[in-house]
Amino acid sequence: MDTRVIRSQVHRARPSSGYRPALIALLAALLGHGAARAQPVADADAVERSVYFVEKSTEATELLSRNKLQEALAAFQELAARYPDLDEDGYVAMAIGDCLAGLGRDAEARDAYRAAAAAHPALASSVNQRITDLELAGEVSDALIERLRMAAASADKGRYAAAWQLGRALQKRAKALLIEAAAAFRTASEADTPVSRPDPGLAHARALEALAADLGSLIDRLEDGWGSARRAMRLPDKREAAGAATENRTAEWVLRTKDGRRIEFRMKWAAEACDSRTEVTANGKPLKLSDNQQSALKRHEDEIRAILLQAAEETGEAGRRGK
Amino acid sequence: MTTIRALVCVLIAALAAAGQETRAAAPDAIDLKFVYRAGRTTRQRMVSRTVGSMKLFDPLPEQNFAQTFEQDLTLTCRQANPDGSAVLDMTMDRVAMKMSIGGLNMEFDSAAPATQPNDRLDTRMLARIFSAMVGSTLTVIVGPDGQPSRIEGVKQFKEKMLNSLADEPVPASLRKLLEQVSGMFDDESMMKEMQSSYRLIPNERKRVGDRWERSWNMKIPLFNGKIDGQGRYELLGVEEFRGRKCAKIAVKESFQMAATPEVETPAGAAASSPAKGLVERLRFDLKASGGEGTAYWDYENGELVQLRQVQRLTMEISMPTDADPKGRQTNTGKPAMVQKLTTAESVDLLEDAPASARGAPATPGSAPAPASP
Repeated sequence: MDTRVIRSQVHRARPSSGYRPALIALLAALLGHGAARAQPVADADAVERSVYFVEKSTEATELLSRNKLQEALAAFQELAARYPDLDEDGYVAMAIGDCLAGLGRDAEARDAYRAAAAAHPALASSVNQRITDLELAGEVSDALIERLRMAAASADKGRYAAAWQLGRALQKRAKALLIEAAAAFRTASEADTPVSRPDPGLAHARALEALAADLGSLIDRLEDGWGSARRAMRLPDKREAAGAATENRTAEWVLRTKDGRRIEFRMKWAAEACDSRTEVTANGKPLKLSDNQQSALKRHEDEIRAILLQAAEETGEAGRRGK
Repeated sequence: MTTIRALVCVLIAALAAAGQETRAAAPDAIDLKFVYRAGRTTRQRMVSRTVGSMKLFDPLPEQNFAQTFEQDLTLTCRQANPDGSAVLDMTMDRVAMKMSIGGLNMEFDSAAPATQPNDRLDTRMLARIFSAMVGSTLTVIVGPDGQPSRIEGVKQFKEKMLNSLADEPVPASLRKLLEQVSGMFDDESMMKEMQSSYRLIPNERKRVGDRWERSWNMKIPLFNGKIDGQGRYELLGVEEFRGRKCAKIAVKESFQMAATPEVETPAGAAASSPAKGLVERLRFDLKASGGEGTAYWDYENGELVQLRQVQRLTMEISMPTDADPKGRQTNTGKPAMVQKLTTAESVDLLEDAPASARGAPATPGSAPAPASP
């Protein structure tokens, strides 16, 4: 195949700028309806241009999805500059805001989102959600919580999204309050007391700090999975999350009840990531666990695994490579 | 849909390529008819790119979506009959897909399967299904009018794909969903899809400036609905393209989805299976705009050399919520999922052979790289 021929034809089809649609519109207006009828059903130059726009938008989206934010931003900005007429849904305009938000350039992101909404009024709801996401990434203010409470309680169709964001705001506030409470108990424990005994305030502060850390990991998990548009959605990857893959997960407890009965519990977690159910038997008989119980076991299993891994690393007992 | 559409586009080209007699047509009046010749083989690369935003059910956030789907297909005319009918074998040589939604990225190329990550179930499933597609052959029976009248092998094609997952730990619910979706495609639905795509070629003699129209309707089982479509086409001119004498055809197609039939859920009753219930209860509202395209048709050899088309789609997916035991709807008023996507379809003839040697096996990878317009 003579590629020079192809290249020359493609180049011939290239418009020098975005003047062509305007020119066609002007001609149509001057010549009236008859002129419009005489237009071909599709303009080959316009088709090539649209195809190219989709191709480059696809590539830019892949960059964004792979967290190559600077490259993605440059690609989207070029598309916005060269093909403003083709961004009919405002996808490129919004993506510029997403890139800036991902880069932590919040003020510019906010401006980009507002510009997108100004050019594409149908995006108002999405823009509002993204700007709230930007606020959620920082310290949660009373004003934000109050605004989200009102939105979640309204009859507006966006109330479910508002309720989701309210939940995220409140749990973040709860974590901050737990940390503040722990700090308060620590301060209280520093007071001079005439009695020498284990300080209950210090122990309580440690427990609250552990709770805050536990809540923090729950929040991180939610934000990683379904947090906001600016943070990419991804499937959980156990190996990445814990720094290790679990090959075998079983545990045993033997308990003696107050009335003297002996119960032997065996727990076995599912091997595949896609199945997070835990099988538990008591004296060999399977137990039926509620969803809440399953969820709690899963959460604590992650915690235990992280503790064991950290302790093993710290004591140099990480084991040998291989099977 | 993309797969079917891609297969269809290749079929169109191959039908025409399979033995079109060279005609001494006047430059401004050309014959656009399908003629077949036994043993003739055509290869094409079809690329479909889709980009846009996807809003999932509330409260899940909107996500950016991009997908590139590439297929290399071979179509061989196995039998050409005197009445103009023919039997064709359509084989998929290569499948490649890249998909990004949010930060989730999936990628597969059957030409380089060893380089694909296989530590996740979803990517392994993708690889298995696509690998099963490669090498599969469908038989297309074409009538004297040049239109496909029957397609065989879809059932085996589907079974091969589903069986490829036999030893994967696919959750039962997902496996049922796959079976349900797969069950919506059969020989009949594939044939309807192909017939609808023949509209580009008028099957008669046309002069430059001539316009023709097509209208069609077809069931879309996956969407539990029906599409009414209309296309307008124009022979823009006759010109040399990639060293061939081509008819340049302008395309403008639009379609809309007819209302999705209601599926009643009895009060307090569950569907026969969660997966089946999910698919059956989804309501789709599809609106398309744009639809402009350009095709270059080698009228001397009867081959589609290139097709470019862009379509903007807005699809709303909603689902009525379960009724409670007293028959009352719950969670009413939840907004629909809205997907605003733009799709660019490209078809390119794969060849390196000079015009004098056409009919010999084509060489892949010779589709032109796009230039910045």
